[in-house]
Amino acid sequence: MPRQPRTYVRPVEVAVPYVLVAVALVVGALVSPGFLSSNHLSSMASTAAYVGIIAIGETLVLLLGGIDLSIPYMINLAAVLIAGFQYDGMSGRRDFALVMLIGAGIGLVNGLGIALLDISPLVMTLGMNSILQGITLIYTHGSAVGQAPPFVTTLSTAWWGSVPYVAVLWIILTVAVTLVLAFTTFGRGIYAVGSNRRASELGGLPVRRTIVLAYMLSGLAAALGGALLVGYSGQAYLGMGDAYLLPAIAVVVIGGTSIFGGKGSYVQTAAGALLITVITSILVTVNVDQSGQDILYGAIILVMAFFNQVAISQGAVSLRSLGQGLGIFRGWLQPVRSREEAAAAPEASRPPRDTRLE
Amino acid sequence: MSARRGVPRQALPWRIDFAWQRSYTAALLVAVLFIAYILKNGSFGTIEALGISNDALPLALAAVGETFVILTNGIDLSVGSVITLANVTVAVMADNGHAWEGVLVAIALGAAAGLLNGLIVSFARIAPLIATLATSSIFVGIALIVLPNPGGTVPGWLSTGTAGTVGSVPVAVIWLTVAIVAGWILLRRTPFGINLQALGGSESASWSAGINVTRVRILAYVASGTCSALAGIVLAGLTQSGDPTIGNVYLLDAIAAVVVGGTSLAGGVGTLSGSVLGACALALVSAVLLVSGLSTDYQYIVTGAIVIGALLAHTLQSKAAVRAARRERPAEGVPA
Repeated sequence: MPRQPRTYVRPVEVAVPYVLVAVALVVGALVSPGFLSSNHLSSMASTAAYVGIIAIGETLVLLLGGIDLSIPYMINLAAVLIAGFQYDGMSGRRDFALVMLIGAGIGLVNGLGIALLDISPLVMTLGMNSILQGITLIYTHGSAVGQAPPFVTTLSTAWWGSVPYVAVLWIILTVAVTLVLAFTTFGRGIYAVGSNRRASELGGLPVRRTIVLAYMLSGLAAALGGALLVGYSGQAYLGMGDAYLLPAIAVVVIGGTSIFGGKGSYVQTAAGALLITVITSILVTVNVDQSGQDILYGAIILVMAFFNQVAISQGAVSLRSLGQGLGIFRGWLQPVRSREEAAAAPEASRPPRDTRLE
Repeated sequence: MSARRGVPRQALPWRIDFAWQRSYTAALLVAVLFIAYILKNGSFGTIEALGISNDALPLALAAVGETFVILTNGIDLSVGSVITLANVTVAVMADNGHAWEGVLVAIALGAAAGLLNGLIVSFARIAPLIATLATSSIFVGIALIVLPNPGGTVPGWLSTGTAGTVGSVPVAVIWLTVAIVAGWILLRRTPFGINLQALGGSESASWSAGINVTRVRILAYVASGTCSALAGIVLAGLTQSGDPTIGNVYLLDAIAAVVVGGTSLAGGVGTLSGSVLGACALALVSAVLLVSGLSTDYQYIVTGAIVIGALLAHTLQSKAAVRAARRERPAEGVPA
């Protein structure tokens, strides 16, 4: 029986960032007594939710082996549109949906340029970012007007008991994206195209449709992020998306998704967003200023990228080795061999070699 | 020539000529925009040349630096933060009366930043995109320590050396010309330049041909850091102060200039001079829109369209060139 192909998502790759989040939370609790209060945990969860939601699209396109650099002004355009529509008296859910459609539509243009015209994703989305910047400036005439519509404000800032709505939204989206990636033809297709585009084409996958759809979802996620940011700050302003381009890529990388495509998952990105938020919160608690935060941010990306790309992908670290290193779960993780595996590893079962004839 | 040591002589001309053909498209674009500017403006004197070339010079330097790295099939996202770091270093040290030392320290810092990038990419084997993304955050942090808020001063000689004029010719035009010529010599006449293009074409083939790929790659990142530092110093001269956010806009613009200049993001095909022309084209776009009476807001839309259009033009150009080469020399392996 041929060996089952290795699944796209290895448990250890998902476990490592979450273990680090737990470690960071413990460190935070040691540093500051109120760190694990439900209030602070919730506020960290909602902070992580914004970058997490924006990074949905970046995760999808990086899994494809592409990149989306149009995120900053996609966020900003969606933000000024949401606030501008409110200013013009269009603050209904339908207008919100219209902004989301515009986001998806711009993603569609990105995807068509990349999939049909074979423009490099970096250049296509870079050019699109510039175009969107122009549209944003023309729409706002240099200064954004309006406020967040009431229900967007509710979505961003209201709490359900001690749970922020935006965190709930993020959890729902995380589950949805994870299920789509793991169980739908589209999701599996993203991994296939990211691993080997040519093979996917020859294997009959709708490669171009997969690419276009992924970039559409990326535009949609960025637009949603922009709308939520308006709800959070109450208004839109120019340049509000600039701060999100590098973090959106960074949390994907910290989570362990390969930028060459085909390896990783959104669950990991969510962990990356949580990790960077918790660490930033610790740094703020111990009064590290902006410069120190920037330097440590870079250092964390480097360490995690090195760890993910070198240690885990080369098999130096596995769930089993982690467990053995910690000395716990030892009984659980003893290698249990199936019959096939035992047959494939004959050294242990074969009798000692007879050397008399040699 | 020692250039021949690394790469077989016959393999070179086609690929390099091809790269130069792509930079001609950028030259054509610059010429068209230049004529459009003169037609719209009615005249072209020192003041107009000064405005455009001062816009183009820092971008051209950043783009040249980025080109070295893109030629190796990498990417340098730390261009903007190295510009910032050099900029604030010069402003702060000049403020304390050490202007010359400030310039030298800024260049050394840029080279060191590039060296760090090159070492991480070569030895930690982290993808260039991620490695330089991370180091760019580190460099911005250091720049914020050096100068948390805009300020500092710059001596007069640095301003006249970047924003001044010689007779009726702006100094920046002279620097741009020097950059085009130096870029031509470096890529066509030095072993480093030729090895750089070979490395981007095929790392394993370069390695087999005896090129020290690690050294070439690290040197490319060092060159990128040094050029970005020069851009930061020029910006200090132009704005006569330091600003810890000044480099932000140069990252994406530098990549845009490289693309317009005809360098392939897949590595191996491209020219430094083309990137200088690309930067001039982007500077001319905003100048033309300005004299046309259009709001500068449109410049972003036109720039974006030009970047995407230029890439499409280069793609068509390479397809045509490959077809022509296959017709002429079917026996030789022509890289697609």
